[in-house]
Amino acid sequence: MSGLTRAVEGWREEWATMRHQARLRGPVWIAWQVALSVAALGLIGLVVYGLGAWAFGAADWTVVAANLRLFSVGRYPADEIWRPATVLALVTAMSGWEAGRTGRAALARFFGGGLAVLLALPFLAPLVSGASPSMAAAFAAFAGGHIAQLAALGALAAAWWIGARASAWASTNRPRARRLERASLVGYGLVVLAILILLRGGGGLERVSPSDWGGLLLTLLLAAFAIVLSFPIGVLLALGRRSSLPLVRWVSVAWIEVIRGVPLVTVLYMASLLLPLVLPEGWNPENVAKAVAGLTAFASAYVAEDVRGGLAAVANGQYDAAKAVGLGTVGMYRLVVLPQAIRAAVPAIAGQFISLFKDTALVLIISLRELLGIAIVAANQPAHIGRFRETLAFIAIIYFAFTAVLSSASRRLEAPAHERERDDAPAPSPKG
Amino acid sequence: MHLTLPRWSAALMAAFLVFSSAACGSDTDSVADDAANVADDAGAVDDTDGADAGAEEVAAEPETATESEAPAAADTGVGKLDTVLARGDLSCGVNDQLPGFGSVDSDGEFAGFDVDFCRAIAAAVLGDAEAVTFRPLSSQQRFTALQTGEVDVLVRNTTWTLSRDTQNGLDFGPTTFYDGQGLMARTALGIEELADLDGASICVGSGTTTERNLGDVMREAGVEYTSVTFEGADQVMGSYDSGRCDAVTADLSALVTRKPTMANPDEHEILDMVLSKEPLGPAVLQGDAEWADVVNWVSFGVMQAEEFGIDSGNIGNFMDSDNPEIRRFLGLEDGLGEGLGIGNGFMVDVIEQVGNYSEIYERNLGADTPFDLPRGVNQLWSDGGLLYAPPFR
Repeated sequence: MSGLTRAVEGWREEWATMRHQARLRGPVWIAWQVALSVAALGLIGLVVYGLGAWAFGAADWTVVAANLRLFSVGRYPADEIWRPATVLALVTAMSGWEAGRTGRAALARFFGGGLAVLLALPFLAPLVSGASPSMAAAFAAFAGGHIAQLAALGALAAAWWIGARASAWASTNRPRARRLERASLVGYGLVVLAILILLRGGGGLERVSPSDWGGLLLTLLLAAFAIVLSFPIGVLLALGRRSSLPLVRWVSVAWIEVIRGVPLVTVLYMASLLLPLVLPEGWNPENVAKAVAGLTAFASAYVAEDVRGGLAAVANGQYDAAKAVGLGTVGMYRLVVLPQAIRAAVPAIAGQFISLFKDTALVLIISLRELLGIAIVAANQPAHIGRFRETLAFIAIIYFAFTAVLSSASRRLEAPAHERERDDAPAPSPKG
Repeated sequence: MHLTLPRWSAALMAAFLVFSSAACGSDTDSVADDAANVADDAGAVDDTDGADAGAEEVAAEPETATESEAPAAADTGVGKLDTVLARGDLSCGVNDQLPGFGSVDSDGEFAGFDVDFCRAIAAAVLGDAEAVTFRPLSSQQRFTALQTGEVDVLVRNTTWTLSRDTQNGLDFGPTTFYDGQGLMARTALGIEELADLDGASICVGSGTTTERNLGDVMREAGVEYTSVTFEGADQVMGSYDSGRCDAVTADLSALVTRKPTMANPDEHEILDMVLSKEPLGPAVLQGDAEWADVVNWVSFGVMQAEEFGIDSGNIGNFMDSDNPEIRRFLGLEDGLGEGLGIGNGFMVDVIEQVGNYSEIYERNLGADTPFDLPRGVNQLWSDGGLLYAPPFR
């Protein structure tokens, strides 16, 4: 609600500025402004009309309706769909627990928002059924996945609530809080293991080769692993680049500059074709693992530069102060420098991760079939040959839903960072 | 969140290590991983297999070639056939983006002409046409996948050429589909021969044999044209359809499968000329004659089955046939399968579970499909085509 009022407020302000300007600049300027506005509106109208006419007219959305399973999990066997559904619930529960326990809700908002968008689609079906039956059918087909998505949302909410309770329970008691913290960390590790076992199979579950994973499942998996793995590597590289040990510095610089100087496509090809060379013979990891390695290597170099920027923003006095209270190098970085540096780098890193989420589409070239791959595969089925516009438009909506939520989550992440920055700032500067 | 990430990641990283080492544990049976071989061919981007590229490669890496080929053969003391039999599963490299030849249906199942040949090999070797792991491969990856042992056989609309046979270390099986490069143009232009294309713009995929062939043919004919290149068949066809060029060139099979998807299919015609020979068939890694024999004879077998008139529906009637050729073919006499190292009744499994050549063709490209592709030269020799299986005896 506050967002809406803020937007209205913004428009009102803009309108006032314009009237003020019009009074100052006279009729020629007004005529010019009107002409430009009409032209711009006309252009926008043309594009929107063209898109609408296509989406509700010529477009045949049956290719989307028929392939929803491919879009969501790729070639994952139909009888085993409950496994990715459980994984989704586990992940949302984990993010909910974290949100409830610590108040850091970025991930929970990401998953909650993305799921909500997907859940909302079937309700649009009646709205478009008159204009485009095939689109209505595609939307309605989403209802089939509702149970899994609802379960995941429920898990998120329940875990959030329990997390908040637990945090309240531990808030007055130091050792309790520490135990809770440690238990959650162990829990996260176990959940990640459980996710991998669930997806891959083994231990009584039918084995599902990672090369059968696809669609949104693979996109999210690749992005999640690459993001989570590249962050610590990037921080280490950033520190390495500032190290006084020449070897460490050179290796870090070489890593960062080589990777930043090379397109991601090349890095992925190298991960796919050259990695088996470097590894011991007979050790040929799954394509998914190679893709994660390539994406991680790529993202880590960029994260390293973001963190380096953050490090540069930490005042020299902070180092001196840390040394003065008797901290060693490790303690100085861990307790004083890095928290400030990373906080300063959060906006840049968040932007980096949003772009990494979209970059996962490039794994198409090493024959992994994530969202984009599925869009192309689906449009090459004999029954739907050439329906690229439909499948691409569809995945564009999915990408947009997730990145929009991701960027709004990252804005929330930035805001408290700024606030905390202000709290940290030395007491009121001598002001007149 | 920024404070939690590093802690999460420690756990995740450990999990990832476990995950990846588990992954390689399951892959140990692909003994044919020969790292050196990958290096040898990493530069060999397919489809640009022109003479210059080939020459460069040979000049650049003569030592690695001699070093790597030899151990490749020596290391793989266990033949591919034994590997496949032990694994109980055939790993087959296919295309998943070529309707009619290889695609994935909405249930996630592979389907297509090439895909059915993978199934036929699995049926022959393992007795189960479903015992196949399909690996979708890009045209850049396909040869590397074969060389690293990731796939046992490649059935991915791959043209048999001399340089692929030699420099890429492949062995090609019998041609299962004779394709050729063709041209499609707007009917309104009234094009009848190459000379009519003078001054025309032609859409073509960049860096492919198709582009080279077009250049060769047009230079030979002395026709000036503007080539408009795009990456990938979808862009080539889409651009032509939207009016970017007067004509488009691609393999005939691709032109036929794409024509119905044009905005106005009636406004285009496939010209009655063939610019190149594109024999498509299965390929295996060089130096494993036993495995190559299996792939070859299964491919010949489906052709021979059509010649005998045996299909999945009527095979029961042939099981008590008196015809000695058919009895040998179906493994009722002589034990031909033993010579290949597989069951004598291997063709029975293939025909029952996959069908003969005609069935495979009709199922994927025939009149009941959107393509309705005429058999053309892909008929039995006895019907005036090029399909000719050596005798099964």
